[in-house]
Amino acid sequence: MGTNKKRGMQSIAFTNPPVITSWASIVGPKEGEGPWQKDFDWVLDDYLYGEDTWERAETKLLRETVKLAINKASLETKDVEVLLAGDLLNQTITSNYAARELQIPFLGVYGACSTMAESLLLSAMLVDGDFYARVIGAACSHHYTAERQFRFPVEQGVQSAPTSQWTATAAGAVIVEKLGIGSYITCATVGKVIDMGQANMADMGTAMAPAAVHTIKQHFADMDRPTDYYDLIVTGDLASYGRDIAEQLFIKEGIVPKPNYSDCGVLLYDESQKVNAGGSGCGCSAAMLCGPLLKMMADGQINKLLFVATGALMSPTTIFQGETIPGIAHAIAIEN
Amino acid sequence: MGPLLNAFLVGGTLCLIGQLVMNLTKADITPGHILVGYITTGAVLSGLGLYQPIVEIGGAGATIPLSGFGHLLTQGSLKAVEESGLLGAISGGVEAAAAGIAAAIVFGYVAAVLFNPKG
Amino acid sequence: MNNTTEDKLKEIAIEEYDNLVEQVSPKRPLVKDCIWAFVVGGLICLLAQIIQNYLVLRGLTTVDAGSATAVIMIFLAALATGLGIYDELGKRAGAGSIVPITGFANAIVASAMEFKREGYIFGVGARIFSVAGPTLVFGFAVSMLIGLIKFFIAS
Repeated sequence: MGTNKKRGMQSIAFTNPPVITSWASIVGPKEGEGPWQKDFDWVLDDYLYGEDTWERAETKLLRETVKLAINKASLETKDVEVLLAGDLLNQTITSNYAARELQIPFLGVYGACSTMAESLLLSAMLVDGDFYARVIGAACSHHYTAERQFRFPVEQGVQSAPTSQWTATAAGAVIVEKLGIGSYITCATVGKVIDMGQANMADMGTAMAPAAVHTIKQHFADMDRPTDYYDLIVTGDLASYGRDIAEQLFIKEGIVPKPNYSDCGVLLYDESQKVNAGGSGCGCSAAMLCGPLLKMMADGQINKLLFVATGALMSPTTIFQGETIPGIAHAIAIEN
Repeated sequence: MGPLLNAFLVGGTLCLIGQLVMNLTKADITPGHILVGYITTGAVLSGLGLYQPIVEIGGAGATIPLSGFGHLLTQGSLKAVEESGLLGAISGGVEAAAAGIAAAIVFGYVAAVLFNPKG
Repeated sequence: MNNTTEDKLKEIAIEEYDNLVEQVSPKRPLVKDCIWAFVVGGLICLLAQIIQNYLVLRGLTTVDAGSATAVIMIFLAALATGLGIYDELGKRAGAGSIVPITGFANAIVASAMEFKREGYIFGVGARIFSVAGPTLVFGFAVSMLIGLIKFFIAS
């Protein structure tokens, strides 16, 4: 069963490529001390952002990032037709409550740390499919709300594993439009859930790497593009060890991406920031995209980017029940 | 000087064992696992009469690690059985550990109310 | 390709992946961790011994001194957790800060503090027991079992 826009097994081509007309990112203190601090729009002074709980702070973070992207385009909230957003918290409360304040028609999405790719992919589909003309895709995460939900209370003395990652306090939002000036979203690949039997919550990079490689391989095959087509391929948050494994898997599958492959979890922080294997969380890839990467595209430093955000789809409940960690990765091609 | 050095050595060794377990096992050992493991092991060793010698050598080095708390529970239970039979078996452990448990719960609550997590 | 062949292939793929992960994954620095655990654990016990000796000097019986020492150590750990010091210690000391009774107190206080925003009854109140619960349950159960065994053997 074919359609006009389907390519190969899992990919789609946007025949009316939507344009990224505006973007914004707001990050927390730690991210603001990292190597890309100048490329984020705002850096917060503290993790509470003037609120009395971390959950409220995260909601404010997402809300303000969306508003900022809208302001930067000299638009108003009512000019945006749909908001697609997600986060790591149960029932995606961050996005739900942000949408409550923003009053933009809202579709919540969940892809764990791959959410930014999912939001962007669906936004592009809504616009390319001529359903809406102006859509915002966003994603957000907060270090302390994630620790609370997935790991340990902040004041508990726990020794962290070298493979563990630091959930980023960050949000990214992108305005995707039918017409406008900016980079184009040209095609995308919806990923499958891949589970290679990893069950270590302190090492999610190795759980997600197979999904990332699977999706990237499928993307090249579906779109019939050579492995050196893109100036840069970034995965979301495999972090150092996940990235090392991905590189091994690329060799094994015969699809070593050239000239550059990197990972947002590795890029976001400096080695001196003591984040073990690197960054994670929806905000990690969202902020890197809606800050440094889109800026590099606007400057013409890179002209063809494949953004492959990765997610680990487990919950504390399934881990306690002895389940393994399934991974997913969605790929989005952004080209000038 | 003797008892102090012994406390340091025995206490350090008991913690070292925990660290080895944490580092050398493949599974993700959380603090919760360590706490449950130590209290249980201490209680069992105490029942077999193997923990008291460690206490005699190490003093606080044996009673402060959570295995020492397990020892306290078992000894309390055994003593109470001698004095009050079946009812003693049921209440003895809790009675012996009462001070520690009450302190943990109440101080815990007060500290939580007074302070905020900083991270 | 029938199901069992597919399953077999999947099994092999998973095993191969496991091997790859083993090769790439870093191990915690064993010697450094052990030294930290030994020294910090030893020092906490040393502090307790000093307190206990002092209490005996002040006239308490050995048993009471032991209980009182435990209470004081719990108090100190609760305070250190509240002040945000204990987690800094725990990051480095590992088992050295978890194993002593101070680690038990830290787990209780950290959890209770974290959930304060959910209220004083079901937030703080309930969360005190999230780590303490299993610990006490197993402690009580095993000691009670041992007591019962003794009772039935003796009678």
